[in-house]
Amino acid sequence: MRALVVFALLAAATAVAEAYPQYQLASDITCTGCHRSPAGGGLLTENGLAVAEGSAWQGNDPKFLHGALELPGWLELGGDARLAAGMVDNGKVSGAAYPMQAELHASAGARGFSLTVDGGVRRPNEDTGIASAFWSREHYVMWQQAPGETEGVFVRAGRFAPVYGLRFAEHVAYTQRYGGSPLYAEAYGASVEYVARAFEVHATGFVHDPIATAWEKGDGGALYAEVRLGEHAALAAEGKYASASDQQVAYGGITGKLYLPGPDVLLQGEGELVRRSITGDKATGVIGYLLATRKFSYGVLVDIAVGHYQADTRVAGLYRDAVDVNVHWFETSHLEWLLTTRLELLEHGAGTNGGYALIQVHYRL
Amino acid sequence: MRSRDMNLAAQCGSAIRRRQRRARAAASGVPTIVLAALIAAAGCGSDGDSRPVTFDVIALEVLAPTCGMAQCHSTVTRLEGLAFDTLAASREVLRTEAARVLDVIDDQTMPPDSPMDPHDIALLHAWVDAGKPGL
Repeated sequence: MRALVVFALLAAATAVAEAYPQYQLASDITCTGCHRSPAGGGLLTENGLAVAEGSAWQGNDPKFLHGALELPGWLELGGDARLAAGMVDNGKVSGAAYPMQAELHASAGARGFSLTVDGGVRRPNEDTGIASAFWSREHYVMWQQAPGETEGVFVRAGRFAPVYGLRFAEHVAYTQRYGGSPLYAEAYGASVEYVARAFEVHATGFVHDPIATAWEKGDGGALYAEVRLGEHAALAAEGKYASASDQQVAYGGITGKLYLPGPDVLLQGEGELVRRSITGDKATGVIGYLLATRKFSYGVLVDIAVGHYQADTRVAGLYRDAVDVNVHWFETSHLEWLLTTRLELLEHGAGTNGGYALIQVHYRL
Repeated sequence: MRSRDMNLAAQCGSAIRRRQRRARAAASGVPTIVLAALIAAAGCGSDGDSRPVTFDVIALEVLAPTCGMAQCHSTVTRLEGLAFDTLAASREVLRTEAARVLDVIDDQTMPPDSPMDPHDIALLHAWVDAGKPGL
């Protein structure tokens, strides 16, 4: 029973392949340097495929199905599958093994217009049955001012995650889990995004999914504006507001990125305030996450991060800290192994401690 | 201090002490000093908890962020038939399952991926002991 619940709870805890912002500034300066989407994640560009090949221990043909399928120029296909197994500690240690992601991505278009759709499976709703396991997390139409280029104006409409904050593949990062961009944070919306080497701005208006249940229950907007300070640093301001029938939540924060060429380390940090208004109460939370990343030889990438989350500033002691260590090994252009670990301390270790150590395998089609 | 707050503070302190004893026993060998130095962030204070002991606070400030993530006990998945990500979903569960919810939290079966904060556990107990106001 417990194993089943662990399975279910963590089945998607890091389940959706998003961007690897660890590459930003260290190699490609914008998400669009490697991804079709102006917010990163999903299908890779030609350059992204080349980076996948060049970063791997044994780079092979990075194209869809290793290039076995010749696709017309107007069509792009991709996919991601992830599995994980390991140990989880919430005060008691237990084992866990589970599927995490199985998704196909497709994008078709020409002359700057495109339709992007992904489809896959997730854990079904236990009340509605197996049919709910099949879904499309993202589907949107996009117009790109400069087709094939990494810069310019992008306009999107459809179902996608409002662009906000650092967008790690690991959704368990405190700033994502508690900070307004957790797993399945997609909503229906429209965005206008401008991406350039000097700065980028993403403005999104959204409404919650009226058909399928989703994490986002509110309607609102999100804004992310990042300015590059030279070649190796960036500073961003971010905000998001969502109003649902039972609560209103406002998020605001600052993101910073700094690449240190000497030690070849990329630092990324995000600090957020969360203001939640419900009937009879208002609460303010504080979230911080700082991540240091270094690439090594043989396709190895190491992240070391610290996180802090104070759910309610009125309650002394209601906070937790985490130390995350992730070791990525890009064995081939398609195959990634990830050791992801967390040590979590409540009240600096005065409360219950927890954590996890999981081996994850990620195959990109 | 009002009697409700005194009751909450007493329960909060008691629950925290119980959890801390268990945690210290379980965490022997963990290099907490090094980690604490690394992540020196917010400071500790008293165990006082000024949050209102109401259903809305329990549902949206305690259970939703802890148990009601999309992949967990949410209206997306309804694991074990339970959902905590909205007021309506939590109300449905807590009307009949509040004791079961407390049990699995107290024995640390839930949440399985991360420890629940003792302050939140104490607030849950206080709310149930107060007759589940607002439900």
